[in-house]
Amino acid sequence: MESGPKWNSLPTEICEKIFESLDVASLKNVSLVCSQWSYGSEILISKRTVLECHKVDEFVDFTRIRSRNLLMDCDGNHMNLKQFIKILRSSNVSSVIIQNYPFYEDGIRQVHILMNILRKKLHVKQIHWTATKRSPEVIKVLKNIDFNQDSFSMVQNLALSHPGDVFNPYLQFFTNIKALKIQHSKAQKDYEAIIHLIKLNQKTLESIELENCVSFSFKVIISIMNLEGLRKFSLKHCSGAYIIVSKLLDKYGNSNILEYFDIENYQYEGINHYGSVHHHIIK
Amino acid sequence: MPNIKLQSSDGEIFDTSLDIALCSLTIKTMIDDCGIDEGEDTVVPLPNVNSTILRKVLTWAQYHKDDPQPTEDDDSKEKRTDDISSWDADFLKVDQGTLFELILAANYLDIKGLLDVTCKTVANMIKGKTPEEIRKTFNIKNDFTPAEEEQVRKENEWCEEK
Repeated sequence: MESGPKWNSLPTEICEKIFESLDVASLKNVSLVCSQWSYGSEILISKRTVLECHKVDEFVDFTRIRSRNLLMDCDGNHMNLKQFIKILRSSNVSSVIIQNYPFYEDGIRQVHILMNILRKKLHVKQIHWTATKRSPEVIKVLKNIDFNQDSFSMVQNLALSHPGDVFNPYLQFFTNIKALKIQHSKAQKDYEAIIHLIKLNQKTLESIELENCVSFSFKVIISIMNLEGLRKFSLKHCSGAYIIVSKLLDKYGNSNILEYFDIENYQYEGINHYGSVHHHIIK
Repeated sequence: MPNIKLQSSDGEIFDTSLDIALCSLTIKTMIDDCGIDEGEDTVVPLPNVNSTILRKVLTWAQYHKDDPQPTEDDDSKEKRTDDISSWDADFLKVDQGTLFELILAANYLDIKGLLDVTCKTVANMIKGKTPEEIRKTFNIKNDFTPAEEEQVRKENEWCEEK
């Protein structure tokens, strides 16, 4: 038998410090050792895991969700959204990631319900939304949603992929965004909504990432350049942005704010870079 | 650098260099608060650390006295357990009771580097073990009913690493 102090002589904060170094697989085993260890490991597991909702059909107890990061990857199965909403209603998640949601007609009502729940979840601070298909029916539904100015006011991290008609109507309700990421935006009307979003969040925005945004809008860049609190501005694969790179360099050339990657046909200070990949991080 | 006297819980006096003793923020605070000057023959009492452990702590501090001070950024870094130096690994080849006593001493004396490395050593004793093996290693009683254990297992079944 070992001499000296035993495990139960260690203060709680020391046990937590020990558990902090463990990976999730080890934490799962730790949670099964005894009730005290189970309690101690619970928070760490919830901080470091994503509950993957595409497995949700088999999930047992919706009221005891441990993960605070909820990922819904529909993977073509729109029925999962109902289950996702059921989980969202009964949990205290702080991060919501929605991937590959196909906007089938019979899923539209669920989108409406989902957005209404999200805006009431005051602890949700991050929303990532990736849509792959759209339906004109969605627009009809969104027009009838009754939102107010407080909707989504707690969300600080917003990432949208293929924003388009599906999400644009919601953008005006995000008023406290610190980090914004837009991917695959292609339509001029997207940019109008984005400019409005930037204006609404001009006091809080610290980071903006634009990726694979084509038909680039000069006005979007100007609205971003007017942000005084911006610490990071990333442009990746945004064709047409090269036109105003010189202005960006004039503004951010002596800082480490700007990062751009493959913006096509970039020309600055007499140096031509055509096509292919251009990578530059200003330091 | 002047010397300072440290008294363990069992009354032994350790005459050690001040720069080694100052690895401990607890001792540093005591010295600052008491206004101890160089050359004074003051003894700093450490009632929570016995002589065996204090000797080991001072050995560790002597070896690490020139290490850079840990910063707050270090806390935000991803925690690893495979970055223990070979000297520390050899130093911590002790029985479990001594290892826990070193953890308690590092915590009391507020020596971040020693606390980190001792906690990582314990974490390495947990990694790769089944719940039953962990219980056996640390002599812990399973207080779950079979139903409770199954419930915890199911709740964590769907958690995947980010």
